[in-house]
Amino acid sequence: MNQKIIAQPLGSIDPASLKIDECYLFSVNYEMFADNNVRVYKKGSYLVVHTVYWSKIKKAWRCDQEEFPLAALPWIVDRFENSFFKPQDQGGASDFERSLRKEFNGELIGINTMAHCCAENLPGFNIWNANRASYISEIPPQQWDIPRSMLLEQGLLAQLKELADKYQAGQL
Amino acid sequence: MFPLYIPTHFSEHYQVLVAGGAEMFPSGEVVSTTDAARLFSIVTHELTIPVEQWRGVLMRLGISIPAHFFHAADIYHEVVKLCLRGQLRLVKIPRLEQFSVIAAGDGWGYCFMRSSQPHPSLSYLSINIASVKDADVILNKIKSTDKELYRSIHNNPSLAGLLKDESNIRARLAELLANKEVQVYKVPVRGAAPTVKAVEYLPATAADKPVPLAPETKASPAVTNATSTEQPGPKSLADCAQCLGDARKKLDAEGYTAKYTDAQQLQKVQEGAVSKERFLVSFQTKSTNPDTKLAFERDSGLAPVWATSFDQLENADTDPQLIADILGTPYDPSKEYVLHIIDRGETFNQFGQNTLIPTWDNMQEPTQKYLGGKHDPAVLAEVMTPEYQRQYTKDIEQYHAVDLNEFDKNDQKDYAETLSTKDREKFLARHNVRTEIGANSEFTGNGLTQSREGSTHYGVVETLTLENNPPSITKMSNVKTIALKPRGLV
Repeated sequence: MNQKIIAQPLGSIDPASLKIDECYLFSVNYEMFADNNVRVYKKGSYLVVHTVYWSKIKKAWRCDQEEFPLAALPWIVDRFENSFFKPQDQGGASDFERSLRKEFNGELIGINTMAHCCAENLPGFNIWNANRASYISEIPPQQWDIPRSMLLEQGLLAQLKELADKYQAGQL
Repeated sequence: MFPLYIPTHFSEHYQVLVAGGAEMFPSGEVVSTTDAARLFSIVTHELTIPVEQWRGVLMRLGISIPAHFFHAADIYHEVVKLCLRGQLRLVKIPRLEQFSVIAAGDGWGYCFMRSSQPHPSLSYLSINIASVKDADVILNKIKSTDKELYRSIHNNPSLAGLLKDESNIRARLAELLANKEVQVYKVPVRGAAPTVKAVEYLPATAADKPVPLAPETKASPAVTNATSTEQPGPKSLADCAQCLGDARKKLDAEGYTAKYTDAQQLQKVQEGAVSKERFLVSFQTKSTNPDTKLAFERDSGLAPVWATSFDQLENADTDPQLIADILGTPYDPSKEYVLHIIDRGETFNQFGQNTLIPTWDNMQEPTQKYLGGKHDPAVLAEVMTPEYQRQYTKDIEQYHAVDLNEFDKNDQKDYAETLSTKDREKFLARHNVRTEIGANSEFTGNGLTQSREGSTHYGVVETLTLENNPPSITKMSNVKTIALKPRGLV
């Protein structure tokens, strides 16, 4: 692993004109960012989280996306289910394990716990790719913030698990 | 247009403003537009306005009525959404009694507040001052020296920034009063508090809202004017309760004496012993939600607990105002407070294995460990220092000035884009620490709170516990919850 190597961008998805290797999967609703349009796509062998948002600085609609190898998806789901959401005495992560990471296809993927995820004092997670830079800031990593309640109560983890199962079955 | 104030059930007020509207009460606290849970609590529980009147409020402020604005749940939801989007702002106006009072020597005193508008409370009327001469008449009734006056004024957060030093403080204050930039109220001075009945213990079902320990805002030399002796510590929660009972008797008889001097507290920070003590305490406002956790009033865990050790607070007994003063955190006499004592177990296996004293040095290890994979370790080391903190504070001021949300990744990237490549790397790394662990732009990293109690400069040594999945308090058999009663009540 060499996290200094920044991978070439996959290229920004245009939701109105998907390319042949791009496929819309589902949308994600952030209640605290109600005006944002967050959609999840498959692009080649990557899972892409694409966001359209209103930039208060540019005074314009902008978009950005985070890219994760699909091969990392089963691991991400497994870490949520068997590390972060499982008690320590049943094999879950201890309080000292707040950052889990693994390399996939030369890209370092991680999940970090967050004290303030999308809002102050709202616990959640940050899924990151150390080998890809933000399309906006041009600085790595690419990061996807997900409040804990969205994963559990709002069913996002179940959606990701379904995708991971399909990927492992060769159906994605 | 007259400012729009809405009273709360607790005799406080909120000023309601439209985006970009001028705040009429600069001493008020602007409510964060990112804390959805708090906004919802304010709108549904604190504000006394009937739900159907929100339509009139929005019309008066020139805000378009949202499409679904008929049923109570929809109205509350839409009002919170307007706040989250920044279209509606809430400014909390503190109660007059919460500001420091400067005694005039006759059982009355004067309370100064920064505002061109009278306080919305009808309990007291401000003294009408039309000229510097009128102001001088009032100020001459204050017998304290200029130095004492400056110290009192400096403890008043609404005025601290207006009066830079103690030279010509009376002349400057008179000028501010005559210009109506500051209002003055004559209020009774609270006498010494009488004794109170013994400690009352609550079952663990009476839970709470956490009161975070306040970060220190200004460094100054420690004083060493108190003495203390090391006593053997408690061995159980029952021992802790007994210690508090003893402390109340001593407090009534002798008044408060800090258990440790400032020099001893600084030594304790260096030694790190406080984070290794068996009993921790968390000072919180009382609620009756049985699912409340030590960390935050949320439906799930994964949040840091800012607390201190039982030993650090023991001499403060069970007086909530005294505890708040020592913790350097705001105190609201209209609210009820509790103290949770947490037994971590002899081997710390019951709670808080991952506990540290949040100093710059101590924050380096978790920062590198948790964020080292995605940010350059050298950059992380550089940004978790007091030197970079000054730059980060400036960045966050600028960030807020353009109305960006600290917890919105897209706002963070947009802001970073305005910086040079080197600076944006530092900013994004430092801000990641803020959102993942919690050290914000006011974090001073000396591990101590700044006391308002007066006998010492520092209050307590803080502890920060990082818990991935804390259970609710009702399910923690290792927690004793104590109802705190002010010394003035019987």
